[in-house]
Amino acid sequence: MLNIYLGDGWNDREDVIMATAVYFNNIYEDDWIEDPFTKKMVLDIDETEIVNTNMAISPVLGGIPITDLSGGVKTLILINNDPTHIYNASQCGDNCAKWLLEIGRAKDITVRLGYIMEFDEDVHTEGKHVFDIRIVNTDTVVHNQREFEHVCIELGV
Amino acid sequence: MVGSYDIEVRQRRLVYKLSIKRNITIILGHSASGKTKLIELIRSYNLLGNESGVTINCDRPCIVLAGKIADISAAVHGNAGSIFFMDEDYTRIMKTSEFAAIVKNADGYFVLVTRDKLSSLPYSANAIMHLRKESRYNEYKPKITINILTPRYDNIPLNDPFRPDTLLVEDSKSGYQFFQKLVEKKDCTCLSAGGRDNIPKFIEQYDDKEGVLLVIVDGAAFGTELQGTIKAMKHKTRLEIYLYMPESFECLLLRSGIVKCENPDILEHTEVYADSAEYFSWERYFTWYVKEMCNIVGKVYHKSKISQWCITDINMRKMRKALPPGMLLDE
Repeated sequence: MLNIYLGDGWNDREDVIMATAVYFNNIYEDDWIEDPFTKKMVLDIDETEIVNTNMAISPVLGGIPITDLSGGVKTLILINNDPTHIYNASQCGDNCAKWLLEIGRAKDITVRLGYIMEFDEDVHTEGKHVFDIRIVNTDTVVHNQREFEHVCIELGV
Repeated sequence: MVGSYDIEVRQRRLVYKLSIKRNITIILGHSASGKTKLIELIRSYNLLGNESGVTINCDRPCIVLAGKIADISAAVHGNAGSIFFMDEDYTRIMKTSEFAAIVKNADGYFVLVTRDKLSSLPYSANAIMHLRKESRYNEYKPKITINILTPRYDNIPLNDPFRPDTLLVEDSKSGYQFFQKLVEKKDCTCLSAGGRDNIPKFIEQYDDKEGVLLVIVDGAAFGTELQGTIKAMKHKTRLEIYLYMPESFECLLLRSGIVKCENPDILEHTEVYADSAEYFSWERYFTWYVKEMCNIVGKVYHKSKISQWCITDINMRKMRKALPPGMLLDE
């Protein structure tokens, strides 16, 4: 399940990585890049095709090193591959939300988030079961965007 | 620092066009929209100048801030009159009171890439931006992508008529006291949220019954609460909600003529007058200006408590005229 800690309370924990993009550049492993799931995420978010573990093709920049992928996709790759840290999902834009949910459906992950991410465009889904996200701060599970936003607002995010 | 600055950052495949006029600008938006690349290009130019292959056209130096808080402080103090950029990897620092103290006294503007709420900084609702992409194709050259800095949230015009039955004001001081007086004879209740941080929660917890709620906030420092407020407004399906964001209550006093404004240009081109080294936000600049204007005519303006001279019937009429045309707060 996707577990989210909302706000700044964990920012000073040793296992929390806020500067995810720099961290990724220095620790990423080739296996993570070769993973077909990574390639799908990179193609969707960055519209970039991974050629090999050293290079990708961006429609804007041409050939780029892996370290030039977006901060959002780097953070998702870290979240998917390194369960020993809690990563700052604020580095992921709304276009990363569906991938966070997908990773959370496959395994237990915990991230830190400092803004109201849009997991689902429809906010008038009261009562509907669209996803499962556990809010660590309140130890509650929210099931749709309306419930998620309600908790965020109550917590002052 | 005062003024408005156009910035063009260019390399072979990418062009960025930015227009900055406040001491704090926030850039957020989707991943892969080019925010970090912008910072990288400026950093390359900082290190190597024209040899970097990057060109920057701007009347002020553009400088990327990095390192620890002491490094950032030294860079800001050593480069007065610059536009400073920071990437989201430094969000932890951006959120500190130490960083807020640097921004507060800085002779410079800050462009901060982050999606997090920076509660220590009073940034404007109008200073939250994102990059909008345009592409230009040329048969013989690489595609050029142009990223233009654009407001993230559209200002909703309040021209269509509406008659609020509840007025929510962010503070409990002079602005609240004034609006309370403005609507006291009408079928309209004036409430105070007790601070801008409480606005989103107040709306979220407000009964979603049929009615019209008008929320008035100081736009000059409301950036931190804008996302939560817009989300909370969308949750109310039966309640009609309008958000009005003048720069500040003091700006309204000047615009309405309740306090005579000797130089009306300060209302249209505030960036030319509100020095970032002296005023943390335009809200503070307008407060200072109102006090100055009052001093000239022998009146006293208190932000904490509205003066009787301010809430006369004539002044209430002046304020009604100055409010957006759709806002029906008739006598």
